[in-house]
Amino acid sequence: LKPLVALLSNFWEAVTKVFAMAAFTAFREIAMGIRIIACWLVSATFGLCHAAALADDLTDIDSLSRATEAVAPGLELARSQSADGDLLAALATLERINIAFPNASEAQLLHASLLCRLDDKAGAATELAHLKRRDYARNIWDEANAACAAPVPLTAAPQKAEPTKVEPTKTEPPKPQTGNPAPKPRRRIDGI
Amino acid sequence: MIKLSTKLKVRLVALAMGLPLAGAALGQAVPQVVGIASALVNQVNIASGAGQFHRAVLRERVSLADRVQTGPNSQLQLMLLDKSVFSVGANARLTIDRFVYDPSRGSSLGATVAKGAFRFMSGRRGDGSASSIRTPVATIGIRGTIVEGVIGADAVDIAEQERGLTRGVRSDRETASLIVLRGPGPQTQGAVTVGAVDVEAAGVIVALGRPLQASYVPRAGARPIGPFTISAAGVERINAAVFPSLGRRWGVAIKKKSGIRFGIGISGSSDGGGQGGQAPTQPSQPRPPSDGGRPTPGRP
Repeated sequence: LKPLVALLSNFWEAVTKVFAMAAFTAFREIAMGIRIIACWLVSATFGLCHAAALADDLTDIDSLSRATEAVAPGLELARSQSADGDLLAALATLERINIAFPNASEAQLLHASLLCRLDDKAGAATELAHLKRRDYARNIWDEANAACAAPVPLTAAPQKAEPTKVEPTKTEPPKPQTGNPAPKPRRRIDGI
Repeated sequence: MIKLSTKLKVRLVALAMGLPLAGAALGQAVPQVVGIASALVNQVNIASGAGQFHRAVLRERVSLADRVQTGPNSQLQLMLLDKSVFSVGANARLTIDRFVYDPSRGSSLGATVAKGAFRFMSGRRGDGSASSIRTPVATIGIRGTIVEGVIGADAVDIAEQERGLTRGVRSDRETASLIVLRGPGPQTQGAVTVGAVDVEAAGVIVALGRPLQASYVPRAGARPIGPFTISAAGVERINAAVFPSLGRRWGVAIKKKSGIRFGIGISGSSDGGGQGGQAPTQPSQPRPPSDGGRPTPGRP
């Protein structure tokens, strides 16, 4: 009986070992598979998150571009951005209008007034020199006047050489010190 | 010690190599979009990589390293994801080389303008401290700003009309670069960063810190001239270069006109046999007063 018991015992031990090894290997394989899947999921999630953020940003700037396909909504957008203090965005909006609609005089006036608010009054003056008072409603003209904080230059006519008349006394940007004087304005800027 | 089976080793190697590749694939499966053509007029062409140019349409996606060209009488506004804006005039060539944007932390940009006129405005959270624009002869370091530049023949024409600026200076009509800071100035309103730029060329840096301060780099290897304050007429000419339709409407000419208004003189080659792009050094030459008109290396 003893040999038989020993044989069975050995057989059982062998079977157990084989099963244990197989189970261990299978477990490792499954664990590795799970890790691989998890890594892919994480990578894909990051990729998707990035794609979603990109899509949001693109939608955002698409809508900004779409708003300037006509002058009126573009001006409305620029005013809204300006009221929110986002002056550079407003300036960019007006530049889009100026590119697509170079005859949109109101956009040009608003652009100049924004330059004043951004402390580029001399630059604004070169643009204001080309605008005519009679092309604007009084409130719009006054708004630009207020932004540039210098009613005299906007009402003075005709402006002569330097556009520095619109510069405020305290916050004066550098006067053009080099080069030729500003070209003489072609049109009279009428008084308010 | 656990002995790994060959099969397992193969899978581990595949995993180690596969993950980075997968990440790279996710990032590069499509070109990195950096912005859109938010406004365009007439002929604007875009080419991806080494591909052929095709005519751009409104709101077309612009990707990193795309080559953007504008034709005659054409204009483009390129809006980037952070709402920074490049407005470029006619006959311009522009490439966005680098664009890193994190909505919560800001953005940085690297662009090359090889030719033409441009205006750049920083966008959202745009102190843009790591942003720069390269021209063929200079690098413009940007700190939250509105900056304009003209590269090529128009730059020479505009600079030549700035009194005394280019006398004795040899300019390259292909690469000369004129850079002007437009703001925001120190008295600016709104939630914007006061603008400043550094113009670097030939190892010399010229800092521009006030609106309308400018620097001119006449050719490759030449030191930047400036800072000087550009004239109002110069500002108009640059505006006309960046926004040709407005320039036409306002009757602004970039080149010198013969006749009464600008006096007699036709712009042409500016080769003057001067000091290799350095500023005029002869005392008899007219110079812009105070801070202007001569090289003032900000930080060598």
